[in-house]
Amino acid sequence: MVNSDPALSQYLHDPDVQLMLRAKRGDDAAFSQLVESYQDRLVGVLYHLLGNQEAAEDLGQEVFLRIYRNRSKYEAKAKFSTWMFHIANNLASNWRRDGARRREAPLAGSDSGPLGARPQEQLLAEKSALMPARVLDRNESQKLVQAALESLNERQKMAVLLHKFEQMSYIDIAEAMDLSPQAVKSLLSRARENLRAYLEPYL
Amino acid sequence: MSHENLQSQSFTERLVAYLDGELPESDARDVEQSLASDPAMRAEVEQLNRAWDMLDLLERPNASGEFSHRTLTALHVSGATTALPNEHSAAPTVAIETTQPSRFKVPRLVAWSVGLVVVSLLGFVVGRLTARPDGDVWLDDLALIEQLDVYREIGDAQFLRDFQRERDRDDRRPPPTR
Repeated sequence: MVNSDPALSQYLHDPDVQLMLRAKRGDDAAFSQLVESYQDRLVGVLYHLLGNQEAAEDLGQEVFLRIYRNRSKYEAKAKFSTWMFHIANNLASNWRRDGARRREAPLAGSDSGPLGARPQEQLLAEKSALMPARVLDRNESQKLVQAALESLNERQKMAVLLHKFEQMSYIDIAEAMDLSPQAVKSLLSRARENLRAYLEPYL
Repeated sequence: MSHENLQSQSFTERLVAYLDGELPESDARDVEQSLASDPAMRAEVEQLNRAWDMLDLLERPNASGEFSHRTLTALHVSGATTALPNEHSAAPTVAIETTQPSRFKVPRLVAWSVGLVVVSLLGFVVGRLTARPDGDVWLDDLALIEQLDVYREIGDAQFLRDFQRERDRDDRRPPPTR
């Protein structure tokens, strides 16, 4: 995932990279600081990716455990956040593939979400209730946007979450998701087009 | 995918990359010129932007209050680390016992010793209370002791059997007439 160009020592200026390097040298307080700094960002992304808070926290914990166990192999060739989301993306993919907890949170993009299982009929009923002619309250708008996000496939969703919530560049998203920057460009383009189509009646 | 679709996809990709600030400067200038002269394109950009901005409404749940403590404790318990910072040192008992066994060795030895002494004392006291004093044996055998001289004169059991036979014979004999 990480570019091996030695010029990437630019990341040494990243304070979180410095913390990770300290953790690599055995400084557990530095690692605790990283957990404190990133826990909300990581759980926030995983929550939308997996569909519920409990699964997001379980996987978030596993991400930090993996990072700690692999700290000796860490090299400052990417931002810490890119490395962390790369691990998170892999674990989330495995989680979905295994389907071990699928009964807790169905993951098909079109029928699941943080609010639990959401069959298509339920979404349709919600959509018909939310007529564009009237003003949506915040709660309704939130549900609508949630449904729009869930209409994306998993890769589009991850790219959108990293770009929107983490303000990650195409290159960073590409590293986190093991894709080329051009693939990320296409992915985000299709995702934004899908979101626009879903939300068009309410724009 | 048709040529038109490919063209459309490529167009949207450029537009989205422009909105994301990911286009090279020269390409961005081209897009800006197109936008200036094409109201339909401006409308499309407007819609893409508004849909993107609506994502700000999404819930952003934080990790629960115990998340970091639970995570660091998990590292501790799994043996991934042995030295947590002070504020996270409240690890489960099992972790403390596995990492600091010597702390508990001496108190445990003392406890066992005290227990052994207490049990021994209890055994001694119970034994003393249930044991009967020697004088009780004399009381139990008092009837025998009182007749001891007579039993010594009798000598053996054969004498008693002969004596009993003689008494039986006397009983069967008719009483003398007057």
